[in-house]
Amino acid sequence: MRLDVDLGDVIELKLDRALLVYANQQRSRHMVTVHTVQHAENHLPVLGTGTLLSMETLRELAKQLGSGTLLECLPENVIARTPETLAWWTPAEVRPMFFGAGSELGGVSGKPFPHPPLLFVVAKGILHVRALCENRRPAATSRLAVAPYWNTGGDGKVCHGTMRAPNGVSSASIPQWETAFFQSEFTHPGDTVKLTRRKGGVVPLWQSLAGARRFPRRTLIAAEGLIDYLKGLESK
Amino acid sequence: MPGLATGQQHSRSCAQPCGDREPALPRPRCLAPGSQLAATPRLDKDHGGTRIGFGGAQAVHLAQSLVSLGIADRNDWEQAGKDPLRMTKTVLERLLEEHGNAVVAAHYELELRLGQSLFDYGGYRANGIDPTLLFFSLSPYSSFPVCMGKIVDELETVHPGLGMAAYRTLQNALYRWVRVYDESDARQYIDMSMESIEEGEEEQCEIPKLDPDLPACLRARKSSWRQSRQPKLSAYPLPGEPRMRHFVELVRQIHRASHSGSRPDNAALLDELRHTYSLAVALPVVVLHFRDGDAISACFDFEAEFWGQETPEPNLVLSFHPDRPEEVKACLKVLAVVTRILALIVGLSDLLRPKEN
Repeated sequence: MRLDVDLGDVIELKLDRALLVYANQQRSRHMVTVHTVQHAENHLPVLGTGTLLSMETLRELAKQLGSGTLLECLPENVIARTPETLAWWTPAEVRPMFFGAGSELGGVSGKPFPHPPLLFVVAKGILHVRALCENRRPAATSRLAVAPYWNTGGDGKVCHGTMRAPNGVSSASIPQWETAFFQSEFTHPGDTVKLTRRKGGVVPLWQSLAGARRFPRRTLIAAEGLIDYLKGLESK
Repeated sequence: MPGLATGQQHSRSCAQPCGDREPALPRPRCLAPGSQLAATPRLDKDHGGTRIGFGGAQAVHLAQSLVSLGIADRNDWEQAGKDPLRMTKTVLERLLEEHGNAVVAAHYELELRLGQSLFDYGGYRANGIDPTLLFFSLSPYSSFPVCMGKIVDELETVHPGLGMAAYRTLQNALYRWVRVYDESDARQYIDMSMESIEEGEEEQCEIPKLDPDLPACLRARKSSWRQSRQPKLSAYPLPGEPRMRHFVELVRQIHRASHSGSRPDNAALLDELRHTYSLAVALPVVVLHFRDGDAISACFDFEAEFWGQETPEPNLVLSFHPDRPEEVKACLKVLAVVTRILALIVGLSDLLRPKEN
């Protein structure tokens, strides 16, 4: 067994930079400078020449680092939000799906299908979808499942193709993303990986579900946990 | 550290006492031009860097207890660079090693965590739990399979009842310390699957059939072992055939090892943890099945796909006060027992594995 001792850390810290705060006698005027540090041969640290630090500089830096998200109230179905990522879930429901004419599923195109609860994630402008194992708002540790849809990879990445994807990742764009996903034609398998435990794969799954009311959970293939999935998308 | 440190320790105190803080800085208004910033103040050597510990007080207590128990000594302290965390980890690893952890580590994916909280939730601790406690928790990342069908059948042909007695003895020896996935879990999964099937879905669902995969002696008896009057393993003579004999001896050894320590009574603590955290059932450390690809393996695979939705309960939780050597000693004794049992299980599994030509 691997022993993991988590009782705190002892780490080496070395002086790297210094902030110097200057003030007049009345403490009514201030100035802050950032200094590099040089370590002399006798190990005595010496401050290098300083540069000015202003609030404007700090704000600009924060903005450039991506904290420029507009203020908005988040609806209850939003799971996570960063300036570049929006994740939300939808409960299990019956929705129509459209399949490309001439495809193996063309015959059931436009019929109502039961869908599992889903997690949608827009990351860096790309839509991703995973199924949820339980019909409730997922927690950070909830296990996800592979979404059994055409035009969707084993990693959940949706092939946009000619899909009318909305711009931006504000919560107001959620209905537009869902519409774009469900109202575009599903035309082809998105990946070679197995997307369902249903015998025969995705085609017999959706053929058997046309007009049905409940998505069979046991056909889902378990995937990673929610937080791992989101972190994975963020780091891509 | 008292008893070991040869130099003098210095406490680190806050430079600015609380309640005597400076007012927040007003926004800078008049800034000097950069060309005038030529000052290069000199700093003391101590400002150049230092070694700083974060939250290591309990590690110091534990290290002191290890010393007072005679488990760690000055040499460990010196070799760890006088770092109580490093010394504690090194000494605990050595202790586990002495009880067969090299074999365990090579065959199991197990994590033994020692921390101030039971889970790595950023230091979050449940209310009502003594903040001075430390916890050992044992959790698997995968399960170790032991295939027993052939040997159970063979033992039954030597002495009717011996195969089942050996199987049940092993099962119960493991139950005392870790979660085991076996035929009772498979049966429960199958029953639940059958109940949830809707009319017309039968063909879509692959539900394994358990009974044909069980050894005949287990198939015949569905009542629990305790209810039946099954003689104990020790009541049977040892088989003459060397492999069977070795197997029975190993099971007896595992039984003795299992009963050489007392499982900690921390029901109240576990209730508190279950109340605070949303915990799933513990993941099995060992899977007892009867042949490759049998119904137990299949049920395990089906269930395993959905494990991990919620944090599972650890297989073993040991809580102790690091500054009370007797409590530390009791925990280490338990860890030794569990390590020993898991190492013996590896030997047993090797014995059961078909030999390659």
